[in-house]
Amino acid sequence: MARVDIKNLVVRFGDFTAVDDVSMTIDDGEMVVFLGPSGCGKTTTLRCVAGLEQGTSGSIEFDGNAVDTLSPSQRNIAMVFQFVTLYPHLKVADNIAFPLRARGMAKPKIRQKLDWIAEVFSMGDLMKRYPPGLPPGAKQKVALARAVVREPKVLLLDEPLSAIDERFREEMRWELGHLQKQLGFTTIYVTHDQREAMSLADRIALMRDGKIVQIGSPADMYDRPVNEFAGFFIGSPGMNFVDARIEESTILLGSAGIPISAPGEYLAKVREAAGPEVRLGIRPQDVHLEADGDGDGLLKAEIVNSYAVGRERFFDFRIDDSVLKGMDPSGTGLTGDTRIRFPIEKVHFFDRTSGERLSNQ
Amino acid sequence: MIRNFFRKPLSDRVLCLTFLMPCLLLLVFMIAYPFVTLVSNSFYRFSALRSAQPAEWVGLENYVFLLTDFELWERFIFTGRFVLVTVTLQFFLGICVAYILQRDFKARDVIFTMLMIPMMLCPIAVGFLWRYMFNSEWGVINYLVSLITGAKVNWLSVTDNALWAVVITDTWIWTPFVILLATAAFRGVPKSMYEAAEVDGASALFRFFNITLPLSAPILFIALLLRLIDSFKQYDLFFALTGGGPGSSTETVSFTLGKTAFSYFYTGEASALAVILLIIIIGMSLIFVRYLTSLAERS
Repeated sequence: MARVDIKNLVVRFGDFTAVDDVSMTIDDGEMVVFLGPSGCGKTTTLRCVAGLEQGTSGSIEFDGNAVDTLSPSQRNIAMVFQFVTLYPHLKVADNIAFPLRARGMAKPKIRQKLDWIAEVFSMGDLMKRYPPGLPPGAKQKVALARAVVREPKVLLLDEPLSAIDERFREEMRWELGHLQKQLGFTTIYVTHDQREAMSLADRIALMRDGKIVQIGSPADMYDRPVNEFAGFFIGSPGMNFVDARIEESTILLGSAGIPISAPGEYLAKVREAAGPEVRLGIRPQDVHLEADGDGDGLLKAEIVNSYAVGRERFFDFRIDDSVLKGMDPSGTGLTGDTRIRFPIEKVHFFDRTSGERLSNQ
Repeated sequence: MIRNFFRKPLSDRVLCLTFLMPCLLLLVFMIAYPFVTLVSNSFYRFSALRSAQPAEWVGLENYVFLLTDFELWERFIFTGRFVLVTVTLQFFLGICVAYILQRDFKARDVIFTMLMIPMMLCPIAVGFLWRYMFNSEWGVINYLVSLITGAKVNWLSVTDNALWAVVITDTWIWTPFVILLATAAFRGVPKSMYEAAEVDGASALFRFFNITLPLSAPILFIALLLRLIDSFKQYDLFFALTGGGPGSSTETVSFTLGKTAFSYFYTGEASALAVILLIIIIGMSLIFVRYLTSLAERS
């Protein structure tokens, strides 16, 4: 196990800059998730750590030693790929033994390791089968077993769950997190699925256009997004955004200036930090239907849609041209004009043009 | 009546047969008829030269005669030696070259195309060309050999040397075939397999033997089967290079078969020998078909 330092990594493919000056430290035993939309450079960064790709500039260090000149096989890393890369001609046991044999480990030692891994992964019954006959979930489990069996310095996971059925993904995710904690590998996990990131990561590195947008714990990322992109990408459904103007004791939403009253003291602070013209973000989970509510933080709007996702009920309302979402925990299923609770203390303020977070509230 | 015939709808059966007929006829005339004639001839004492003379039914006598013929067994052993040496050599060279050609370098495609040329030439012409090159007095090969060793090799009139001369020529012609199929097989191995193996810490050699070769095995086995059958039937090169000599010591089984059928015109005996060869070749094919089926079942 090792600490990984990514230092000013730049990767260019011709004119295209895939990774643009990425720096980050992954601590020993930590699980960091690189999260971002496709094409954001997360997989390329991972492949650079693996040595499958060479950075144009910058360097990768394991425990303070640069590994840039080492081949993947010399780096002592293990990787699970997005698409199953089990060796189809080898039984599961031989697949798992492959990296051990490749390093010339003695047979009795290999046996011992296989027994250990079969127990840790509780897959003794799979060992004698050939990979092509296994369900996708089991395949990735074998791939993971093959990755960890030789106890690599760093474990690299490239969207390992995306090829698996939704139903088993949850289960595999839990198992993966559990194993990572149990075995304590330094792990870099790449995904575009924010739920995976939120449930697995010690820290998340959110990426866009080859750059790291924000690094932080899942709670940090959720509570304090550094810009609109971070706010929208993390959390499901994504954060609502609407232009707003901060007055003395009200906030006016949209061009129509739909008023929300708020404590003047609080608004004065925000106004001082952010200025009067802002873009306002709020998570749907914080916006509630409250037909007979009163006091501060209430908004009158027309509900245009109301729908359920599982046991959670959401509703859409419109301000100007944008549709905002809210949650309806009591499941009233109301539509039409009503009052909506819009708690000001849960609101994030962003710059209208740059999208950067404005205040430190 | 004709109007009736056209008005009546054709039954599916008739329609099926109508569509199949051209193909069936072709099969019957090109394969079934010759095959049945061959097998039936093998039970008669009969010569195509004297087709007016009635054939005499001799039962298994032709087979008994052939299988107890010491001379013929020697031909089988010689053929076996030839097949073993030439196919081994072709596969060793072919796989090595294909491995080198996996790498991306300038002029690779040009070299690859040039390597394919020998396979496209007419074997009998190649045979005569190499015969001149192997000429012990003024052949270019002996010239080169004498530069190195100072002595000349009697290539074509010593049995073992003649075997090697044919092996060299055959290898020259057919190694490209192995290169071609091995290259196709190697390219069929997904790049991700190599990446996974590299991450798993496998050296280039380890990757080749544990990933490339096993994953290419199905195609390589088909190549092997084709080469085995083909070299087992080798005739033209021996005809051109040695004429079967010295004596009849470099005759392969097919060479003997050709002589029996078309020099001596022992048609019955030749038919029996052809049936024996056919059984051997079908036997070889079955082993491979079984292997390929087991591969398919695994996945």
